[in-house]
Parts: sequence; structure tokens; C-alpha cells
Amino acid sequence: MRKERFLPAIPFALATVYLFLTEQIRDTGVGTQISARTFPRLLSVALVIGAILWFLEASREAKRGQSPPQPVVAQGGWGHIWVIAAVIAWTGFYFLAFQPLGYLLATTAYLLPLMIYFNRGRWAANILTSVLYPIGSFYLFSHILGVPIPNGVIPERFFG
Amino acid sequence: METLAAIVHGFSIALQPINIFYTFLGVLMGTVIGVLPGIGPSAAIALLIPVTYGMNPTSALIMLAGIYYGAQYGGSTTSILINTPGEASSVMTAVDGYQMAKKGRAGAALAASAWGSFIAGTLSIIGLTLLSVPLANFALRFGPPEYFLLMLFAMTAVSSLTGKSPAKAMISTVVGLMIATVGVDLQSGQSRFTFGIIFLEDGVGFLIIAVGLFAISEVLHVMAEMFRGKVEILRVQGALSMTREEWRRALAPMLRGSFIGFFVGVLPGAGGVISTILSYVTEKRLSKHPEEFGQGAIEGVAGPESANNACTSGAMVPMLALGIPGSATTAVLLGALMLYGIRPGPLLFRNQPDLVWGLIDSMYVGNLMLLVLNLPLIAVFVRLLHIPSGILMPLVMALATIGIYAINNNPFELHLALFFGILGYLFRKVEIPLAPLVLAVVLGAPMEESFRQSLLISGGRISIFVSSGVATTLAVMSALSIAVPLLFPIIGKWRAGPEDPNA
Repeated sequence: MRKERFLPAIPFALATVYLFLTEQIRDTGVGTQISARTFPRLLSVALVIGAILWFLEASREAKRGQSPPQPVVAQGGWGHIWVIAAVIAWTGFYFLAFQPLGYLLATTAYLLPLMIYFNRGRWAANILTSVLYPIGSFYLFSHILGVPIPNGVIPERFFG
Repeated sequence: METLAAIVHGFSIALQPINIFYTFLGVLMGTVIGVLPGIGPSAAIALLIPVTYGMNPTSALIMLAGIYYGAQYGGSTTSILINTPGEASSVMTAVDGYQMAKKGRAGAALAASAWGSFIAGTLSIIGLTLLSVPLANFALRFGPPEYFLLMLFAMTAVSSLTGKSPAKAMISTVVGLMIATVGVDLQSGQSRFTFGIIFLEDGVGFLIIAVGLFAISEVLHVMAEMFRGKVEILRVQGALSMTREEWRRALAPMLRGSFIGFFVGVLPGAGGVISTILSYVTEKRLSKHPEEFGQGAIEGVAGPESANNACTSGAMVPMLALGIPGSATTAVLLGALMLYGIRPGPLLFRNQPDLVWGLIDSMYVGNLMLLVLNLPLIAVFVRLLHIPSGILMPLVMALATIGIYAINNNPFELHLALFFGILGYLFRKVEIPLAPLVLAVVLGAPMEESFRQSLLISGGRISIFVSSGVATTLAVMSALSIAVPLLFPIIGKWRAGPEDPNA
């Protein structure tokens, strides 16, 4: 309950930062008072109003004894947040390695651990999928659909 | 007469072999995506847009639209067989569809869903055909103030009708508008919110946001949900057809569902979920046996399934006639149009008749294909439910990577998409709806442009926004869309009387 009442502080902070950045935009002084800052300023005000309304909603629900943090519980809770954080970090590494290593190697290296973790016990299916899918999709996108995909460390001649 | 000629011409486009192929591909992919829980049509369309860059825009749009309405067909399969909606709009189908399946009537439930979808799909495309041109002609009279207010109304309506909390929807909309302000301001040439990053000078690409918010965040969400355990898949029992008695009971709900779905779809933000709830409630009220609802009433499947299909064509009306998307998926479709270099809006019917009428007429063809595909091939689609999410989700992530990289071959955009994926995941966690954000991203730039043009025309006077009848009506409607959801709880509390402190 307290968490939900605390959360509106985030859009409020965002509005403050956004307004500060809006004021940093150089005013060219050309034309009328309608500048590149006008619309963003209005958005900052709108976000502050949204944050206040959220706070009021959360407070009202809390008073009525209905806990607004229900969404967190309803959507599976935060219990697995560390696993999701690890997936995000792993995906970040994949994106870093995507161009230097190339699609084939980076994708195989990315898929295999994820499948081993999320599809436990099915070693053959996991290994086959994480090797064959990158090869199949590489040829589909690169050779048939003409989508540019990085080769990375694998020399060009291997791709025909 | 002119419109009739355009409709006939549209069929000559839609029935070209290449377009028939893309219609088939679209509806097939849509059905598959609808069947697979976790991957929605918005994510699928966003992922496929980069692949369609080399294609003729008409064919590409025909395929992407096929995914949209095809997914509504597929979404019912999981609702009926595993009590898990493939799409949010199939939630109500699960209530009675799953009960029918448990009683060995899965075949009849799937048939009611397929026939309802076909009838509603066809009727609503007729509605789309008839309503779009007059609406587009009317919108030709709009100037910058009217356009600004129309976009404002679309956003406020989406905010008030999406999710449970108007405040959260408002925050989502404003964050979307803020994202749309990133980049060089075209009127003054000033960089805004780019933090010196050169890749942000052109703004944040719509596709990056769409793939991040829908595909990546969905993958993260499904991965978190995987810890909840496995679901039981019921077998398809009984013939894939309805008895004469079931037809008698289902036909009127199908027609009513078509009507409800289409008109709810036309309203910005109302979307599939609301139309199915309205249809379900209507059928329960009209039924002579309301006690059967929730226990496996065929009306509870036929009505909502028809409504959610009719809704897709309804949502196409403002998208094509006004250039205003009313839902997340139509926002992605509109984003696709812009990426193909086509300016959406009322002039689309004049400037791109091949595209508009080819697309609309392809939907008649696609609906017929879906009926033919869905009934005999249901067993094949059910097999898809056996693909482990532990394999499927990482593959979607890899596909998303290709999709984003294909846009500009820029690794920075991969990280940006991951950022939006995390943002989307966190929004889902605290139940902030994503649809208003995507809509705001799509409409943000033209909205600001119309706002500034209006103020320049009037010399800074805000009164320009109530200077015409249309503008005033739209301004009042926007104000009501904001005020009514906020006032509802207060009015409800006032009508309920003072609270008992001892209660």
C-alpha cells in the first residue's frame, strides 16, 4: 500500500527533470512566443497533474482498504525479479556482442543458456534449436529477404 | 458511384496473385500469433515491419492487417482449450468456451467462434467500406486547431477507456508525448532532449519503441510468468460444427456482437476488450437462461468472439479516414504507413486509392481464408500450444534483434529497444497501460505541429481552439473524456451516501 503511494513520486521527478531540460533548450527568439519550449512545458505540467491524480487515487484506495499494489501481486509479484534482471543483463551483453561476434555466433551463445534455464531437462531440443534457428533465420533474412545481418568474426566465404 | 468504382478497383488490387499470397501469409501468421499466448499482434506487426521495407506498401499493409484480424481468430483457441486468452480481447470467450470444452463441446465452441468471427468480420468490413469515405470527406474541412483537438480527443479517450486507472493512463500518454519531443525541432532547428547523442537527433524511431514495448517487454513478462507452472491443454472433442439448435441460439448473438464490436471499435481506445464485455453482458441480459452463462452457454462464445473481430474493422475507420489510430495495434499499423512514406489522413482516399481500397477489399478475402483455414486446421494450430515458452521466448528476442538491427544497422538502437522493453515491463508490473504511450508517440509530432500552427495563425490566442463548431465540440469531448472517469468515483461515493465508520 505504501509502495503504491510512493510510486507517483517517479513521474513527479521525471516531470521536474524534463522541465529543467526544457529550460536548457536555446530560445532562438525568432517569431512569436511559441517556441520549441512551449509544448514540452505543457507536458511537464500535465505529468505533474498525472502524478498528483495517481497519488490521490492510491490514497483513496488505501483508505477504502483496497490495496492498489494489487497489480504487483496480480501479475506474479516481484519474486522473480532477479531472474528477469539477469535476462536483461544477458540481453544487454548479446546486443554488445551482436556486431563484433556476428549474428550466428552471438545468437547461438545467447539462446543456449536461456533455453537451458527456461526449458530445463530438454538438452537435445535446446541445443538443436539454439544452433539451427540462427542458421535458418540468417539464411532467411540475409539471403532471401535481403536484410543486412552482421557476419562478425566468421569470414564472408562461409556464407556463400 | 465514384466510391463504388473505387471498391471494384480495390478488388482488382486485392485479387492480384501476389496480394492474395500476402493476405494468406498475413492471416496465417495472425492465427499462429493469436494461438500463441504472450505474443500479440502489435508485437508481431512491429517485428515484421523491417522485413517489409522492400515490398510494395499495399502488399505490405495487406499482410500486416491480415496479422491484426487473423490474431483475433487465433486468440479464441487458447481461451477455449486452455482457459488462457491468446489475446486480451479473447478474455470473455474463455468464460463459457472453456466450460464448453470441459463438457466435451470444444468442437462446437471453436466452430461458434470461427463462424462468429467470419460473420462479424464480413459485416464490419461492409461498415468500414460505408463509413470511411463520408468521414474522410468531413475531415477534409479540418484546419490545424481541429486536427490538434481531434488528436487530443483520441488521446484523452484512449486514456479514459484503457486500464483501470485514468491517472496511470494519463501518465502513459504524457510520457509518450515526451518521447515524441526528442530530436531536432523542425520549426526552430533546436535539438531537444538528445543529451548530445547524434543518433537521437532524428528522434526515437517508432519501430524501436514498438518492438521494445510490445515484443521485448512481452518476452520478459512471459518469462516471469513461466514460474507459475504448466497449464492443461484440453483435447478438441466433438465435431467442429454446431448443431441446428446451437446455430439457432448463436446467430442473433453473432449479429448483435458484430454491431457492438464495430461501433465500439470506431471509438478511440474502447477496443476489443470493452466490446467483448459489452457483448457478453448484452447476451446475458437478453437470454432466457442467464444462469447458463459461465457454465458453457454458446451465446457467451458467439457474441464476444463476433464483437472482437468486428472491432478490428471498426478501429480501421478512424485510422484510414482521419489518420488517428484508436488502439495500440492500429497505432503500429499507422506507424508502418508513415515508415513507407505515406501520409495518413483524409487525403489518403484521394491520393492512395489503390492502397486504401486494396487493403479494405483484401480483408473480405482474408476473412474467407480464415474461415477455410481455421476449421479444418484447428488441430494443427493446437499443436502450437505444445511449443515450450522456454524455447519460444528466446527465439522471439532473437527475432526482435534482427528486426531492430535491420532498420539502420545501428547497435545503439538495440540498447534503446532494450530500454523500452524494460520500461514496458515495469509499466505492466504497476498496471500502467502501454496503448496510450504508443498512440502518443505516433501522434506526438503532428499534434505539436498542429498546436504550434494554430497558435501562430491566431497570434498566440488560445481562443482559436473554440473558434469553430467542430473545434468546440472536440474540445468539450476531450474535457469530458478527462473529467468523467475522474468524477465517477466521487459521484459513486456521493450516491452511496455517508460511510459507516463502524463498517
